[in-house]
Amino acid sequence: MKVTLKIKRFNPEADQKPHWESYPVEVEPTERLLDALHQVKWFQDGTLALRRSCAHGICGSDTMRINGGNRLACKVLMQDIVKDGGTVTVEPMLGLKVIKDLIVDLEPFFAHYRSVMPYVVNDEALPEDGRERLQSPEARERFDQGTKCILCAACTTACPSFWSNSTYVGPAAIVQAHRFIFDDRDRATDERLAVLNEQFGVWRCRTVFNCTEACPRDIPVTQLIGEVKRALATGRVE
Amino acid sequence: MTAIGATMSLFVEGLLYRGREGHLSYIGHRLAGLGTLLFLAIHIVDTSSVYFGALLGVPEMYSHAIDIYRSPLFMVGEIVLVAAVIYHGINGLKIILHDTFPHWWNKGFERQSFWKVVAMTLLLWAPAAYLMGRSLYLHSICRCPPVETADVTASTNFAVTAIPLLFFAILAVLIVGGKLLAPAPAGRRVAAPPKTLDTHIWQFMRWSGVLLIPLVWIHVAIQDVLVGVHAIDLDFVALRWATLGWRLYDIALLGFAFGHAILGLRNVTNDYLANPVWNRRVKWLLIIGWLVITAIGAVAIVGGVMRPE
Ligand code: HEM
Ligand code: HEM
Ligand code: FES
Repeated sequence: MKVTLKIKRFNPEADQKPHWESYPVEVEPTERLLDALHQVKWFQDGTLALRRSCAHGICGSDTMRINGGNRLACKVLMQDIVKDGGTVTVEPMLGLKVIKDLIVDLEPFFAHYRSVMPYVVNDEALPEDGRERLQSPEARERFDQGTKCILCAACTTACPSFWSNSTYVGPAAIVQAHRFIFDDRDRATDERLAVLNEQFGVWRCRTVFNCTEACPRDIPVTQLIGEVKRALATGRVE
Repeated sequence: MTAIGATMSLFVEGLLYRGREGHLSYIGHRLAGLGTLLFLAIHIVDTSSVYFGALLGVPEMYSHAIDIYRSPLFMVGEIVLVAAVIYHGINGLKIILHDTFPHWWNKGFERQSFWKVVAMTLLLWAPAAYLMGRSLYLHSICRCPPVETADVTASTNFAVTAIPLLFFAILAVLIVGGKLLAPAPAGRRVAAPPKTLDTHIWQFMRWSGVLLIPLVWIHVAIQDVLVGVHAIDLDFVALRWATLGWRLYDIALLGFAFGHAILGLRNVTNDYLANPVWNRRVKWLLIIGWLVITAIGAVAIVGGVMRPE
């Protein structure tokens, strides 16, 4: 099928502000938007800047606004977003500084990620065999959803609270915190909860569900955030 | 200047973001809340003229205020206000339910919930809009005001019984279709972390929200829909405030509605004022505005209707 890619371009060395450019491409309906972007970059305009690594929805590098909403370019099939002869709009994520074209500065995002201590903290003596801390399947299941996160930032940059004030720790960092708060091997629950209890912690969430809708891994983000709020309000980590 | 321009364009792009029902529900909730707040701040001050008018030597102050409420433009505004108060209330209840039972919700249920909120809002708003629209027509367009006036006692009794029942009906509709009574996933208990100011505010928004559905809806149903602004004057207020119960009711309304709304505005301030200096200044303004307007309203309720000697 023949479609037009309308891409928001921004070159910090030449442009005052971003502008749109259109590129005609010919793709199979079952190809992905990333393939179409490659066509542009490889055969039409090599200056187009975008991030991608795995091209299979695992590394989380190619989140962008596709037809206005956050998706991974490598997970969207052309046939699902456009008809023959139609136009697809592609823009960088919202709420983070654009470095060039579709590439944004992810540092604020990762700073929030680090702030919730995304690793198991446990200074107790090792079990007798000196090896792993065993966990029941049920206890492992409790935080399973959060482990699926690929840190693609689709949720955080879909959140109105984050757009308007990026001091907000954001959905992705809360999901990561949830993954450890609800892990019964972890001993730093208090510290993590304290971070999220701050003014720009979990209370900035307005239950908009944009994060849940944007997640390419189908993590019920808003639910996990709700569970953290409940844990903070009642002390029940359940 | 460029900083403001960038903020504005980010704001507009945010509004245009292709979210789904949840995004619409959020925009509507905020607009309805802020709109009602704007009305409420004015409303508290002008209602207080029942007391302060005579004191300031302008006894006709309240009737001037009510004249404004009776103007056609304002009456249209009141019809919109009623929609806002209904939508914000039902949607607020949805948010409160979600936050209490997050594991009942998935994204399909959230989408469905939005349409339930919209449907219930329209259903409740339609009869109110009809009554208010009719009053607007009779008074302002055909200029043939009805001879019989509203029966205040009957209206009051109706509102006081119907609205608590409605509350439970709405609750039931919102719950149906969720993973109702699904037990919360197993977990463990930790010592609750010390509550911060923001924990308390978040909880107050929810408790006050639940309370405000009966408080605000009964008030609006009586004053604005059933009795109507054309039947409201100093005597009407004096009659209502002759009952201690209604004075206490108005005090609760004043405290909870205005407190809730100011704390809501604090949320909004945290969104759009990232600069810490301005953020703090505006929050001080909010506290002062809240104290002054609440004090004016409270003095009027305690003082009651004052007439010139
Ligand atoms: C009728 C019953 C009401 C209920 C159930 C209710 C519920 C709520 C809830 C749960 C929130 C928090 C939203 C969130 O954290 O995401 C909220 C926010 C808010 N409410 Fe209400 N409310 C009610 C009445 C009112 C009234 C009468 C006003 C104004 C006078 C008001 C003004 C606001 C404002 C300005 C916000 C902040 C909006 C935002 O952050 O986007 N509310 N309400
Ligand atoms: C246009 C619709 C409305 C009309 C016609 C109306 C009418 C009145 C009247 C006649 C009073 C005098 C006291 C009484 O009779 O109990 C009053 C007081 C009051 N109303 Fe309303 N009301 C309306 C909407 C609202 C809404 C939406 C809210 C809350 C969000 C509200 C909050 C209050 C409060 C707090 C007071 C006490 C004011 C004070 O302390 O001086 N009203 N209203
Ligand atoms: S390129 Fe790795 S997630 Fe899309």
